[in-house]
Amino acid sequence: MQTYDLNLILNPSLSSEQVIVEKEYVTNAIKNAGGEVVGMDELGNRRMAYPILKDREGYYLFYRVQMGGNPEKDIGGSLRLRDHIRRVLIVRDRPEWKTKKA
Amino acid sequence: MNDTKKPRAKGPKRPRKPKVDPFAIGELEITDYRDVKMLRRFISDTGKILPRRRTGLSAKNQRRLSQTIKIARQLALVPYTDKLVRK
Repeated sequence: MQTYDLNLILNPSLSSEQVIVEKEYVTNAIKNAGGEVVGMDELGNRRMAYPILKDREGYYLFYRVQMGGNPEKDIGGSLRLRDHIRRVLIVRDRPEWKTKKA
Repeated sequence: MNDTKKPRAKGPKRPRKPKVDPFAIGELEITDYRDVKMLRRFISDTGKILPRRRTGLSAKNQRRLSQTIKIARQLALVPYTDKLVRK
């Protein structure tokens, strides 16, 4: 079991209902892959450093997922097929690299 | 280093201030790729990762920081390149 960060950038012009649909899809995809959502963070629309699909803004979603196996294959593959999800980035948590003292 | 007796080479004087590695003293979190304010400190105006002689990081932390910056670039939090704005 590892902890991963699942970072998503959605289409910035979605309505709030469409965002909820996307979020449900993401949580279902995580559950189907045998993962567990530990934390969730929603930044909302944010100006990006460079345009993605000609949009300067993106809707940011951050999930913290605990799962075994290969999340890039199990979750990332299906999420990337969604039209409104524009970027999927999965980062493994590296507690041994952490430098900040609590 | 025997820099006490040697005459200094010609050229502008470069005062050297010892830099502290903010990650080594536990002030900043090196794996936090969402902390744009922190990452901006280690990126030039044109978006390049600053060299170690400018950042003052240890070799280990510089390697890890470069990974963190590259993750942030993929998320469009930090630019790959930026136009240089002349004042």
